[in-house]
Amino acid sequence: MKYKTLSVAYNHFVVALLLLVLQVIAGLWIGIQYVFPDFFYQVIDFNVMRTIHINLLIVWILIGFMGASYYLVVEESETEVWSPSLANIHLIGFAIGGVAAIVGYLFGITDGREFLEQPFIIKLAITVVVLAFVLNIIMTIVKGGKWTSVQIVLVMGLVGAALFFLPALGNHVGVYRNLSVDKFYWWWTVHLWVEGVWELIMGAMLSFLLLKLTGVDREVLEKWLYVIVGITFFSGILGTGHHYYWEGYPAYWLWIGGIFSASEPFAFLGMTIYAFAMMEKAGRAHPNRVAIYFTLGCAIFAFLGAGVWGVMHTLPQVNRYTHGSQITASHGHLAFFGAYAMINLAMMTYAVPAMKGKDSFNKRTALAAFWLMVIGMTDMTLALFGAGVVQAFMERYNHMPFMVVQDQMWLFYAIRLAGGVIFAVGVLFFVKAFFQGGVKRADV
Amino acid sequence: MTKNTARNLYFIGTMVCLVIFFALSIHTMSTIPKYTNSEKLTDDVIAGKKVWEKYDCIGCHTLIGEGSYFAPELKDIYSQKGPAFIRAFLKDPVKVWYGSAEAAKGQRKMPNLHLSDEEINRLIAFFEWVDKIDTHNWPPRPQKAAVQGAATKPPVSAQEAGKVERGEAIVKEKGCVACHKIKGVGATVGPDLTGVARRLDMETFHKRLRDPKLVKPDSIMPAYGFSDEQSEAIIAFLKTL
Repeated sequence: MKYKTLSVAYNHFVVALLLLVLQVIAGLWIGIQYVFPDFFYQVIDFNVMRTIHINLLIVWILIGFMGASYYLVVEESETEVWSPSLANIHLIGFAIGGVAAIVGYLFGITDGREFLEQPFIIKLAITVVVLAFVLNIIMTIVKGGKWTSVQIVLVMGLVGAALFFLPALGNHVGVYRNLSVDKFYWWWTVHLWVEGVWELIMGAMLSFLLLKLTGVDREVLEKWLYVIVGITFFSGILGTGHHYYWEGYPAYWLWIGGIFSASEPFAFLGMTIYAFAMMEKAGRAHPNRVAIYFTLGCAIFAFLGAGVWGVMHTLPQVNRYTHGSQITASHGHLAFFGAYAMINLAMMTYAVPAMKGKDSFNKRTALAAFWLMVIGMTDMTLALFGAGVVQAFMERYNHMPFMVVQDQMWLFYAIRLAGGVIFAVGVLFFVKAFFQGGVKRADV
Repeated sequence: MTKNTARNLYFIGTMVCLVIFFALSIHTMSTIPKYTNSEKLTDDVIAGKKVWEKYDCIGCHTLIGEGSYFAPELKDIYSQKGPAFIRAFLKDPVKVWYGSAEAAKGQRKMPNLHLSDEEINRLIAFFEWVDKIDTHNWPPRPQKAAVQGAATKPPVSAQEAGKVERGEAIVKEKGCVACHKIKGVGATVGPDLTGVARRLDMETFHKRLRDPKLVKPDSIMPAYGFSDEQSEAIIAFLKTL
């Protein structure tokens, strides 16, 4: 390993993968409860495992981002991490906080607001941990003295993520007594993370991977990075309005939210074209084919999941009938997988073999992981989409009772569960490839 | 376009969008009293929101469309089902919905959360307030509009209209479709009312309408205390189905 302190990135990746495995187990659990409702009824109910499922998602993605960020700034700045011990301490702090929150959910300790269920004390701990991490990243870049555009965009994403977490604390100090006020600022964290600052983090990492994998001129690459994150914010900030249609706010949000959020796919389309165009330009075939698969996979599935699957029901005329249905669940799965799970996995497939002086993960294992995850997720997305169409039509449009409609959707849920099992096997293959540590090109 | 142009466009564009977004946010906050009836935000409603959060209700339900899609949307549960139903249901969800644990086997069902009476009261206050948030008529409820339309009309007196019309008005006003199905519209909590008046004998039917427990002691239907005259109108209407 050229830089000794890259071990902190590796440690983050290990914890992130472990939490991913747990997230998938929680997902299978609630997937089973959809098909067989008596499964652990009144023992560990749906809401408990659902909360755990989405919390683990956020925690593993964030820890993955942290590991990937350390790797990125060390390589970009060509220097060691400013404080490796601080990095390991905040990793342990985050992991303990996350596990404590999840154990708490099993015992009914919750703040009961979707995604932000963590008790106040844990939210404060997360804030401290994230600030320590951001400090460490910035100090490392300062130490290296090279503010490359990739690093500037990454830091803006990370600082933005920390800033927009602050509104999440409001309910604990009693300012969200009105549900509509609560929801308004809840979206500042939830939307401005996943459809705002997280896209900056993703854009920076995608650019970094393309730089490394294609050898394309940095100036060209960084120009397009700015264009893409420019579109992201142009569409994403006012696009928050697409969550404000039906929550007790003025009707102008239907116009603003509709128009701006309808342009959100252009940012993702930009990333896809960007990734493929740079790969085309690549002067040499990079030996890490696995990383190329995951990088391009990320670009494609982010566009499909976050872009296409999002814009489909973003206009108020459509959203009126799809809001709060399985269409949202379908979009949520493919978007999080395509954009944020995939970028983390792509960073791992590039970084881990590189740190270990290898060329790539074992191609057979890693590509099995890739295809199983892609097929499993596509299955889940389409099954939930089918369920959502039935629900929107029968419940929202034909105003039939919720439970009557749900009874018609059993088959879709069974197909989704099968997709979940395929996906879980894919994750296990990835874990195997990860711990095999990689191979030299000659062995591929 | 050079890299610097792209970077400047990005920074300026972001700033402009943020300024517009914050300005609109300030304006939206000033309209909250109008759209959400904040003056009706009593201590019970605020406490009800805490109950909602304490039991992680959003882990199964959606509320104004956000949540978990596993259980019904509750934005307008107050006007759809009414406080009596909500109270009875929360006391024993399986029995109220399916009749017995046996019938609920293999079905999706709410766990019994063993809420206290005080918690239920607060939750109902919360639902009543949420029901009145102006959400530009979301969720779409065609039959709700019809029911409300009927309720705002003056009550039809005995002299001026026939029994059938009066019966229909009562059925709409009381929102019977919140539990019963009538000609394919409505819920499945109670029995389908299409054709029911031709199946039951009249004496039992009158009794049921006065107080369902007189006929079926474990009935969960609230006692509406309809007069004989009202009962006759309802039955006359149901006979036409």
